[in-house]
Amino acid sequence: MDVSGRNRIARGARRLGVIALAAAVAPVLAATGAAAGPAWADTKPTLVAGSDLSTSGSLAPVRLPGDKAARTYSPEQVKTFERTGGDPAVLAYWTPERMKAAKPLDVPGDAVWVEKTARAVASKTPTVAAQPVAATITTRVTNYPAPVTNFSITNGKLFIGGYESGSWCSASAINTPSTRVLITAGHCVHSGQGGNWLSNLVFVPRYNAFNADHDPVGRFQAYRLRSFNEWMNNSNRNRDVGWVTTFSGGDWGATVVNTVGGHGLAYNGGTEFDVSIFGYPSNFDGGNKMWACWGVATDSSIWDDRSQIGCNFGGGSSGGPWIWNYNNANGLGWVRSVMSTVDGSGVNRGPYFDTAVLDGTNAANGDW
Amino acid sequence: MLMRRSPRLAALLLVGVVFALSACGSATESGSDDDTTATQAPNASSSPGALPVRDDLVNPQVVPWRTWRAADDRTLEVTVTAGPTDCYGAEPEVVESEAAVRIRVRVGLLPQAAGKECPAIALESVVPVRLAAPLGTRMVEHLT
Repeated sequence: MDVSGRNRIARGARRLGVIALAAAVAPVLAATGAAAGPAWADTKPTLVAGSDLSTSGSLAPVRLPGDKAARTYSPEQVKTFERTGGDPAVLAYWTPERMKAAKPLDVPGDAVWVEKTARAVASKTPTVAAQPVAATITTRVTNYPAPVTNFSITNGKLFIGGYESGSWCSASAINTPSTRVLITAGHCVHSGQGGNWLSNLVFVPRYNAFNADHDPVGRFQAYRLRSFNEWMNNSNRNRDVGWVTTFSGGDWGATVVNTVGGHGLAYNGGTEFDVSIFGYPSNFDGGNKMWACWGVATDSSIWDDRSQIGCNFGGGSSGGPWIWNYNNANGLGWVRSVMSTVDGSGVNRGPYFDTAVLDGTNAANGDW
Repeated sequence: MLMRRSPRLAALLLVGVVFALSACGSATESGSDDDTTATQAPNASSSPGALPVRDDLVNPQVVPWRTWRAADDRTLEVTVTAGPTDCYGAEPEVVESEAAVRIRVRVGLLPQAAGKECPAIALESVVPVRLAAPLGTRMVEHLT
């Protein structure tokens, strides 16, 4: 315990160095972003790897035990859910299955530093769409303990099959005008080629099963799902990106970005960049609390458009944000990729964010 | 209660472990149970897939099982969280006594998945566990 504590502090100190560096650079980058034009400019897509750049959306399916088919909600019910925070049956599902090991820990999460010897020579600076925005409700979300690093409440656990089910991904809120959009992996909303949309998605910002309160600001039920057709039709991992539009919800009955803030989106940058990754890998604390991993992501291969880093984040980390220029003070940054895969040697990979990802994000913004 | 094992019961226990490990044979076929996850049914995701049962998993780790149900009088299905069933498999271990059936499940990469990428999603899956004797009224417990 003492040893790991010291290690954490050591890692934290290293991290602070990186943050200081990032902080020094940040204003310049922010200025560049502002100069690049309006946040939601509709720029022409650039073709990447000959893939289908379009996305499609769907109502988020809901089906509960005993239901013969997916539930269809009337427009009146949807309006009601917007007021009440969603279908109570979905949000409450599995509630009795509380973790036996529920005990408070000294830090809300833990972190690993990844050393990369092969650092990129030059990384192209990405274009910035969507500036990060802080939550409008700040009564509780700013009350952080003093952790080694800030486990941003803008990130959370994305349950599949209802709250506290045994299936999950990770996700984060991004700042779009609707203030309702989460970004995650494509396979967290649709099972890919020959598959289907996933059911009963519930987003829980900074979920932590070791605390008495597992959902510090409540839960947000999915209203609509969206992914690249290239993912849904061909399981193309270059396009493993998904979006979730959420009902108002949480403890204040507000939209997700108004509750926990939203990250910005960075696209058309290089595949190599300083990254902070957040998620709920099942191989770390059983996926019961948020973990972070940071280091330098490198180019995955000349054969695709992805980035990689050896975080050894296993099942459940999918969809977690790969954040560039993460601000440890306010817990916000620019999402530049999302967790997609893990291999047997612990290397994680994420898709390249290009203009098509911006277009998909804009489309998701229009899903409300 | 557990201490009072008869030789016959000890043999049963042994058979139980062997059964669990070699459930491979039957479970590879019930790997066709995997198809239930891959079907086109609109809500396939609400019925979890079955993890292949193997004894040659790469780096198997004990994971806590959440729930169990009796598939028939000698087969239990426990649920665990793992990855996609084409990447991960399970190795159940069962110790039976007169009073209880105690189960522990290890999950690891399938040998054929060790060198490839797998989607990093956490999925609840079922693991079939074969018993040497009918469950009857025995308790089902975690083996620690």
